[in-house]
Amino acid sequence: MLYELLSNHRDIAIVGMCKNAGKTTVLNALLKELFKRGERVAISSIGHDGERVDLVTQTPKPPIFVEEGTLIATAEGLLGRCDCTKEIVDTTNISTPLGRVIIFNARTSGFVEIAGASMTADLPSLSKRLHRLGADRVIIDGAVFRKSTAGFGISDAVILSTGASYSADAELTASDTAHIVRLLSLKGYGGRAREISGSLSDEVKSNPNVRNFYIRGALTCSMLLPVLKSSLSRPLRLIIRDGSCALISRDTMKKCDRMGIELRVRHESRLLFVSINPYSAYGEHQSGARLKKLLEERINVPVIDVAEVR
Amino acid sequence: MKLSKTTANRIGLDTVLDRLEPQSPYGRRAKKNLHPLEKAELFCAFDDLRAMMTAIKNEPAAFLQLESELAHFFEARSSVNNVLKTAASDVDFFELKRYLLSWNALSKKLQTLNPLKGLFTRELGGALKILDPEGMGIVTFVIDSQELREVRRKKACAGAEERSEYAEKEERLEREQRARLCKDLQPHCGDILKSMAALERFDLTLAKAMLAIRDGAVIPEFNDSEGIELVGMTNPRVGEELERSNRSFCPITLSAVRGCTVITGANMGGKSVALMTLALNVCLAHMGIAVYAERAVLPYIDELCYIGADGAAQESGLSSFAMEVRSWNEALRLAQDSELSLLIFDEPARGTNPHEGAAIARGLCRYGERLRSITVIATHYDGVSEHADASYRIAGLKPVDAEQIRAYGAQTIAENMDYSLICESRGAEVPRDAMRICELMGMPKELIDLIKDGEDSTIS
Repeated sequence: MLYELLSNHRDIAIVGMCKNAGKTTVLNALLKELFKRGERVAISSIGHDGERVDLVTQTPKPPIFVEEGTLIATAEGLLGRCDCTKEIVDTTNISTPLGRVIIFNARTSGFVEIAGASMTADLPSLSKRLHRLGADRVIIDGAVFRKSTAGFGISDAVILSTGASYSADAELTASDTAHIVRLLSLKGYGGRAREISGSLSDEVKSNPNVRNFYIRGALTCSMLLPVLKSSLSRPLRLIIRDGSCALISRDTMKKCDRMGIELRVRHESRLLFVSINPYSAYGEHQSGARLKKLLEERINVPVIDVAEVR
Repeated sequence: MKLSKTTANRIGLDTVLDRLEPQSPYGRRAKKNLHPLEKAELFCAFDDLRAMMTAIKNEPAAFLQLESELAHFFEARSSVNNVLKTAASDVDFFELKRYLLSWNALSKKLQTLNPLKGLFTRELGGALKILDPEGMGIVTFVIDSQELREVRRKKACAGAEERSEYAEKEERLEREQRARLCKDLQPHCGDILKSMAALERFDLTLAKAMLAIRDGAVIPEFNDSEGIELVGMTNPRVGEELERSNRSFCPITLSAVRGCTVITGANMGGKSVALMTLALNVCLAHMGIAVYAERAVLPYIDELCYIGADGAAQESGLSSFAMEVRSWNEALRLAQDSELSLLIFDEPARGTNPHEGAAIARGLCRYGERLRSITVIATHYDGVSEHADASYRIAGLKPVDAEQIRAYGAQTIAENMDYSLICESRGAEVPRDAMRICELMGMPKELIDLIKDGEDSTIS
């Protein structure tokens, strides 16, 4: 079932609502499935993943297991912690705190730790290289959503991971996840728009005949607040690069809806599915079935329980 | 020849160096280390350049192909150092293997095409065989041995508990194999480093030759001549600025003798540009780079000092005149200590009162004759050139349409200046174009009359 959900998307990012949301469990499941189907996969990450113990909660984390033939892009400093037989195939100029990103082919299966590019600007060239080296699919283990405007700017498909680690309150987890799903599902807009150079509210005020504005980088609540407090004379359309650039809360989104402010994107993301992890790193496990139900009431995207695909 | 960073920036050396494009990290490193050379090194550098330019002209397509092969090299020096320390990682072995594959492919071509005397061009087959024993020639690396293959096979079939034991054993065997590879490679490191030095020399010389051919620059002649002769010299930085306003650089011919050469000319006349162009081309000649001229003959110069208007005055807290005096003292001291120096003074004492300023400029000119130096002074003061060994004048403003100047201002004056240098007789009067420029730029007639009155009364 997982494989069908991937469709023919070649670049996939897995992003999380929080740490310990089950991204690695989903990743391992995908890798196993793709290997069974004879596909060659390349993996990398934004930041550091696959470590054996969560540095914050000291709970064990599932390591990333790769099959033979997988391409891995990870920091040079972590090569010693990958226990598969490593065939080095390329070096890159991408720096990380743990050294340059190196690409190797897993000659045998084994466990890996990956720390990839820290900047999304490096991802497109890395992805191209991995495809050129023979990868059918590139999977980026992305950042926790909201920690950066990063993670999947270039990916054409996204998997969102959520779970009990987000909140002890399952309803809150479901509502906030549904909000992020909405941001990740924003519709594309390719028409003309005035690019904001300074403050959004100043630009809106001083251009009363302009309806469409393009915001480079992140759109945050503090940027929208002055606009929401003012009285708008016309509906607005705010365009951002892609869904990962919308760092706005549920409440702010509701206010935008009420005031006729529409959010659109230049590059649509395709949200493939939402994965849920009913196990909490903080000990307050939840019912997977309940969390799944709460989500399915709010969103129109498949929901997968990682406990069922492990 | 010694050259300060300030002088290098001022004379437009960076523009020329930006155009110099070695393709490999080795050539780029050599470019970063470019500096004025000692005599013996300089003559070798020009022998190399001459040979390379001839070779390129004979087989241009082959050398363009070599250029693009050089672009595929990666820096691997640190990997060689790690092998020598018996501390190389898998990534080091990969980088060395990749380097050796590229080098061996290039060396085959160098053995037929290389024009440089004594260049190391030998293939490093022995070193490559250690990292690629089966001769597959693929740009990947995996640490391997018979024992390792056996352990890996067992690890793949093992259960979870046994797996970690095999993983530990694998790690140990890999460590031993790395140490073995280092020991086997160490005897080859000398030759690998020689090949990298060869790449530096070849790539940089190729880049210098391509630049000279593209820009029409020439190899200078060094001899123990009495002075510097530069025929039809140009300045790429100023040339680029002029091209932006659809103008072109007027080539300058200058012979600067031992003793003092004076250049006079009107304001906006291009004296500073002439001096910068002289300094730039002398500097290029001493760095082993072709010069921007039709012909260049010069002696080997130990010290180049260029003293112009100094923007650092404000930072140091000294007046601009005090800064100038400090610079002159430093330049004259360096000239005393060197075999032969080139001292360039751009409008010395321009900021002080004209009477003393003129006296200072004349004094510098006469003092220059006593030093073992070639001194070139640009000045608008009267009476300096009568003490000089050679004298030039900027040709100056051509006949212009006064209405056009009034309509379009300073830009039109610049467009109508003839910046070429005319050889003058000793003691010739400094041109008087300042009043003409004031009139052309529409200064109020009343003021012009007052100025002319004042001038007449000074003369009478």
